[in-house]
Amino acid sequence: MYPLLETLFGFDVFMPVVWLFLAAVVCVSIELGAKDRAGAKLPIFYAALGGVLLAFVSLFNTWGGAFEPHLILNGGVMIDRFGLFLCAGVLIGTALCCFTSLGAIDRLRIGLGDFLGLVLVAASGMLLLVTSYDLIMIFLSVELMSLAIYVLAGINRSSGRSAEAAMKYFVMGAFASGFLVLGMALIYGVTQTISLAEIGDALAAKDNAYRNVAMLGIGMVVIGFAFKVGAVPFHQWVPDVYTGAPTPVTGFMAVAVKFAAFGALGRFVVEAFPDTLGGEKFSPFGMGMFWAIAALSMVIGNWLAVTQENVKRMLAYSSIAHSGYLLMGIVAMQAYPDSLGSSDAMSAILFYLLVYAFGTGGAFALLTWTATDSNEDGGDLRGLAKRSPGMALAMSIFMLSLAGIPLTGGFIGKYMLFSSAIEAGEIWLAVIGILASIVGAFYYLRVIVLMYMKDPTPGEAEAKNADDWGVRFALLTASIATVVLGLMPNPFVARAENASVTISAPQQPAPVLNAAIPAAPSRS
Amino acid sequence: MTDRVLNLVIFAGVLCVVAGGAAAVGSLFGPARRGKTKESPYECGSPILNETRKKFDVRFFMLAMIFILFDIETVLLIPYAVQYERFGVAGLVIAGIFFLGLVESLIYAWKKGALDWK
Amino acid sequence: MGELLTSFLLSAADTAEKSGNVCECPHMAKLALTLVPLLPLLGFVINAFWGKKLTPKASGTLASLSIGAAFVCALIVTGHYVWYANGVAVESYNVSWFTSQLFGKEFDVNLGLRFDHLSVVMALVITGVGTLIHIYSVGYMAHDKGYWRYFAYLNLFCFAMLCLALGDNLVLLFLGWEGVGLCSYLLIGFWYEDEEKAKAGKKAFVVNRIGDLGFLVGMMLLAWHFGTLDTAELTKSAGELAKNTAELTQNQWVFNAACISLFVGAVGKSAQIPLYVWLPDAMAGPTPVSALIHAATMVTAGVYMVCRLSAVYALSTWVLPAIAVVGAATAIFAASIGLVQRDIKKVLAYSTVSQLGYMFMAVGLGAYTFAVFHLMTHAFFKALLFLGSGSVIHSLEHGYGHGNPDSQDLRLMGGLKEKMPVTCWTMVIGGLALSGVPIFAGFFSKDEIILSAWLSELGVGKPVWILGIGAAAMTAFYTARLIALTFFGKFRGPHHVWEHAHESPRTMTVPLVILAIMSVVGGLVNIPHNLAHGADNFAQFLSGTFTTPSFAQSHGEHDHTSAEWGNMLFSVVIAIGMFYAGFKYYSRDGALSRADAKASAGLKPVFTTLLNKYYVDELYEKVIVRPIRIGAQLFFVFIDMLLIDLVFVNGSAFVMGALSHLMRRVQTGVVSFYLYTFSIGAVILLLVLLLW
Repeated sequence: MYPLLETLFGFDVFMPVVWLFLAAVVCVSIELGAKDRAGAKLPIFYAALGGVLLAFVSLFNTWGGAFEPHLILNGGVMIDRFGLFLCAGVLIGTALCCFTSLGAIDRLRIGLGDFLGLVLVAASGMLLLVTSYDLIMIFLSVELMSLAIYVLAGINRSSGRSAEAAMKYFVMGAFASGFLVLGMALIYGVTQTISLAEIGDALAAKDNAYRNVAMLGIGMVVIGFAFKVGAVPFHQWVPDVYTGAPTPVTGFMAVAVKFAAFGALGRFVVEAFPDTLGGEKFSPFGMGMFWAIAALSMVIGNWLAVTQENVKRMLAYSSIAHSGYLLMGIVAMQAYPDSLGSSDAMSAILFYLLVYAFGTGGAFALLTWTATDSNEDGGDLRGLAKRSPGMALAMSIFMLSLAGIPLTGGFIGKYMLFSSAIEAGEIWLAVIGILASIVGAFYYLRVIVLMYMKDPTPGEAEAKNADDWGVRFALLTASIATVVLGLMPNPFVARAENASVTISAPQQPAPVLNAAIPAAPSRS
Repeated sequence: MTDRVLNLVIFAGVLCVVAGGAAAVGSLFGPARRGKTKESPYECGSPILNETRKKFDVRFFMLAMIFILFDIETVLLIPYAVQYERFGVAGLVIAGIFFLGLVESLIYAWKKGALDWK
Repeated sequence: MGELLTSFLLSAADTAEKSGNVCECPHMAKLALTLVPLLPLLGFVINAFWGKKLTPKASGTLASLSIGAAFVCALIVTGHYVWYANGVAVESYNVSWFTSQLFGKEFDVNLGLRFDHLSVVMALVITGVGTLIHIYSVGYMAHDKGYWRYFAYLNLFCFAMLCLALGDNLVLLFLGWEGVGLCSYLLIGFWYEDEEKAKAGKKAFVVNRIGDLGFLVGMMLLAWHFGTLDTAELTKSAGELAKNTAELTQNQWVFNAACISLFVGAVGKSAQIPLYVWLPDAMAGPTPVSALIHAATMVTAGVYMVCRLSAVYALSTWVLPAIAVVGAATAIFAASIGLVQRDIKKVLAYSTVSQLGYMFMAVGLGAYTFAVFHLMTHAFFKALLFLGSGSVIHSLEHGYGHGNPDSQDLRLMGGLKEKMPVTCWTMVIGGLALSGVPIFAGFFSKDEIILSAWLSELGVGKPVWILGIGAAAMTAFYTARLIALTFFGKFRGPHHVWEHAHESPRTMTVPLVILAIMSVVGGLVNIPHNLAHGADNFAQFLSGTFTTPSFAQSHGEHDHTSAEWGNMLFSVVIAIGMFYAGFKYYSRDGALSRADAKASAGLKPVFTTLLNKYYVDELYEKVIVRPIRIGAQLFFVFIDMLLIDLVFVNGSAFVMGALSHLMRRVQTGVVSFYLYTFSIGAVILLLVLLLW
């Protein structure tokens, strides 16, 4: 008999997704049943937070136990530490979004239940995306995530810019999904399989006549992901959508979507790319492409960010630049001559994602806090240090971290990424990255200067969000986490390494565990 | 392999020639008298009553979309129903969660007034 | 506390008995060392969070106390180190910061401090001079509304600078390096209401980034080759490597590249040609800041870094001579600009650049001890001169009003000796020290540097010597000019200013007097051995710390007494002569207008060139800044302004009002443009994919 408790907290039906989904249902139900919107806010918030926490508990439950990576849902979902680490990241982004939206929701003129319901559904799509192990699952979860986020981007119905952002994101997203699904079709056509590992094996066989077609397909899938992470030249939507979408949603997009898309991309590169040397080394296949995207993203993202006046828009460009740094990690992963080094590069990516999540998530939370009815972007940070020193300090920590200044997590993350790129032999890419990040330091520090060395704009009302404890909590957590990641990175780096070892160890077919699902009865 | 490709090419070529030829012959030799009636959209022979591009109520869209969504989601339950013995308790739980989602969205649509018609 | 003290004494006695190299550092010393940087940090934290609620005096006192306590701690450690430690460096408690794989090696980075001979000098100078300047600031900044911000930054600066000087690895050094840069940036732009001053801050920031890039590259190269960034380990492995000629020749380029990259970092931080342009502009900050950061401590960080890595520099071939040439060129170049500047602080700023040139000259010649010696004496007398000029400015500002540039204009001063005698005579002492007049501190250190140039076996030795002597002559002249124009002759400014001018308060004059005393006796720690059987004490003290490059090792073998005497007499004659000439010329009435008249007659091109600082700023503006800006503009206009800003940001303002028909059409157009670039990018990338 299958123990029910194991089902509820174990992974065989991938409980975190279920918890999030159930929480979404509860949120929407409370919203529907509530008499007044204001009274329903707190129960909805707690329901959503409860869902996230339960998902976390399920994650830790599995991470802590001694377990072998295994496939569930008939090979559709892979449970390994790599996926679990990324799930944790997605959940952090979701939790930050829950906290920041608590106060901001009043400006959006929509119920918190509808909002958080969509956030949780998107998050469950992301959890599936980072664990999915076949093409169908990848596509479905990408769409589950994206559809919810299209709606979220346009959820402020009274704002033209929000509607514009949603429309633009939707049109471009559909276009990118076209690439994604066409690429998958090409891959399937050649390899006759949808499982990532089998695709890699099939492509490694040199005698496949249509190998180039499959390569084209792989390239198209990568383009689909590159769109999601906002890498140049598929980045044009980022500034518009990030600026137009309500700020809590932007934070969610910047943190959780990046986690999910990079997780899926990383897994795709590791598993589906043809292995060489019998799985001892990652394939350098497609490195030229990644190289170009990474370099372009770092240079153009940073360069354009410098000229921005609007902080929200600047952060959008900065997110493009950070995608570039992370892609540099993927190049490093491919360029390493041995799989141990590659796993180092992968752990650098994971750690950097974590650092970036707190830095960017925190920065957007602050913009939520400073937003007013007249200035939804919360761009007016002038003299913030005089108005509320604590907030200015938190924002400074985020900016320093994003700029990669020592004693913050950003420094360690950048250090790991750049050192792995250099060690892998990609000196020039690292040089481009270092140059670009020096430019980057300029605009991040400019924000600090703005807060500390300018006088507040006259007439700028004292932030009326002062008692918004949700955002305050989010800011507090994110800034503490950023500093802790900078001062004591070792435990987190160790987790990231642990996570990437499971994915990059020489490939062995993972067992498909479907304990609850007996084999199909043979029909006779 | 090459045979099949060749066959395909020949077939496509013949197809193009025949179809294009028929169209060409028609337009070359057929009588061409243009007129208002001829250029208007085909309406089963009866005269046009009004503009074909009409505004109509957004509720039609709403209902149609809701219908399509539920239709497709329900279709997803069929494979499970066929094989439900295989999946045991866990399967029942999963299907239950899925169904819960469906019910919830129906209630949502209902409560938000998407199904009202007045 | 008592228990700790006992354990300190006991273990100190213990260590004294031990003769081995194992240092069982007593907790007291460790604790004191750890506290040295942490105390200013504590001061920073308190001032940053609660400073707003404190009165200016309380805030300043707190800041001064925290750095003063750090000075006491530094003294304790120094005492322990000099008397008990047997030359074994004191190490603080250290924390493993992060570990990672780098270049195939396990790579540990610690947060730890180390206290050795070189640190004695740096720590005492930073905390000692720092304390005096903090105290001075209490008076100077008394009326500024941003006093708590100021003291917070100042304490943060001391923390960062102490990390830089005491850190046991290059990563921590770099952290301090960036930290002092940040504080300098914040303090230069302290009076940010003034556009000019905010710009100066920005300039310092940008120029320093260029240097930082060099530093990073150099650090990476060292990490790559040595697998460690711990300074002691670097010194050790470099020392071993020096014996292995084969490996040395094979990897020569690495050492040359690393050394020159690190030197680029030093050039940025220590304001040498060609990156010196930020320092004169940095005078926009409050004067005590100029004294602390832009004269005594931060700008010497580059010199310190090269000294710290002397073992690595010993492995390079042509880098040290290049440093000597850059230093000498900067020394004379900046000194010549200093001859005609009209702003009292600008004169001192160029003088600082020039004196830093001397330090690099010494470094390049392998005379590290004299570089550090000059660093120390310079810290005393240049801080004194800056604080003195601050006192003058402070006094004149009562008449002119705060922030009026006239209060710094030498043409509008004169005769202030009567009004402010303490400031006057202390500054005269500082000026004599700067000029290298015997007995005063600058004489001993500068003379040694010039002597090293004369004795050097390098080909560049003699040219460097000539430049050094030339710069020394100019230095004496502009110093005398500065002092004569400020304190002697007749007052040339408006009458009401003269009325309001007065001696500064006690908090400002006491540090001046202390620094003046230091400027007199500071040089006596190292009396050269041809004079009164001086024992070169300071040089002896430091000598073991540095790895002398091969070309400078044969110094001790010959008897150079005659050369020493000759050099000394020559430079003394030049210093006194030029100082006297300058003083005589400029202390007479109307000297400035006569000088200007003369300039307009025959020397005009030279004069205007000097006055405009050789047009270097203009050159940089044309050659570097403008192209970058144009590039950014192009990017901006085509991609951003045209497509995004013009259409969306401005456009969305319309959309907000009413989704106009027109805007919708433009929007569709632009999304299709996005898709267009998307597709083009996709095609190109797929081609890249298939071809590579």
